[in-house]
Amino acid sequence: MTRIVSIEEAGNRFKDGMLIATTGGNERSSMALTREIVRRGIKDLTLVFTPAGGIQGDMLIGAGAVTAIDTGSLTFGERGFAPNYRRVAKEGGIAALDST
Amino acid sequence: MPFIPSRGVIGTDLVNLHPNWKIIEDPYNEGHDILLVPAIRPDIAMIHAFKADQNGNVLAPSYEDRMVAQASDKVLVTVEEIVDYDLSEDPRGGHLVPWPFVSLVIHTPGGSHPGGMKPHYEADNTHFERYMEASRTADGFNAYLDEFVRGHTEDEYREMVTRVAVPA
Repeated sequence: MTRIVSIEEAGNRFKDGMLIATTGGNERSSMALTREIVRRGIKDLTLVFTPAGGIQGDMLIGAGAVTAIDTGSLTFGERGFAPNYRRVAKEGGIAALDST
Repeated sequence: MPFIPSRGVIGTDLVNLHPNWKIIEDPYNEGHDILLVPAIRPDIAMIHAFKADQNGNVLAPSYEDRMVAQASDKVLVTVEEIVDYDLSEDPRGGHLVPWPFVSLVIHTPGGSHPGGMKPHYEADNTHFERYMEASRTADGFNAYLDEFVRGHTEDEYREMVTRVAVPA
């Protein structure tokens, strides 16, 4: 049975090195859980975005939580490039795959 | 579904980027190759949805939410509201993710901020601009995280960002 829990209790499920799937991108995405991952200093995540990445992925990359992403795109849509992804990728700090 | 067969990708560099993809002889087309792309099995799916009921049924914004939930080992869903009726009986206004595919539900109104969550609230463009300005440098973004995220609970974040419309 599903349980209704606090965000702190849910955050205990995240571990270093996990493969995490997200939905939404820049709208309708779980930024609350994204921030909880940052609070905990989780590292070495691989992210897969469905259907595309946005501020969720960008915040986790900027926080140093991500080793690789698997996605067709990670942008801020009409707002422009995803700024942390762009900066970290330029420095060679992230592996970008594409299964789409 | 354990894998998807595909032909068009053979011959591109995408194959070299994914050592776990396999090329075999097409069993239905002798002498021709076929590419097999294995299913992605995430450890955790994180989803933001409109509503959950007491049993853990979830009303989500898009079809992809259900697809990702079915593919993932554990499914964590933040929701704008928790309702007293059975969403499987009345899934109007969204896509139903049935409770067997939901591990944990967390009540976080405004949980998509600074992104929007129509019809609950629009995107906070002012906050987006602030985020993007801070992200020009690593130091700037770390200062942003210290101001809004690290060392602050989600409730404190919600109080700090004023434009989130919290449903009554």
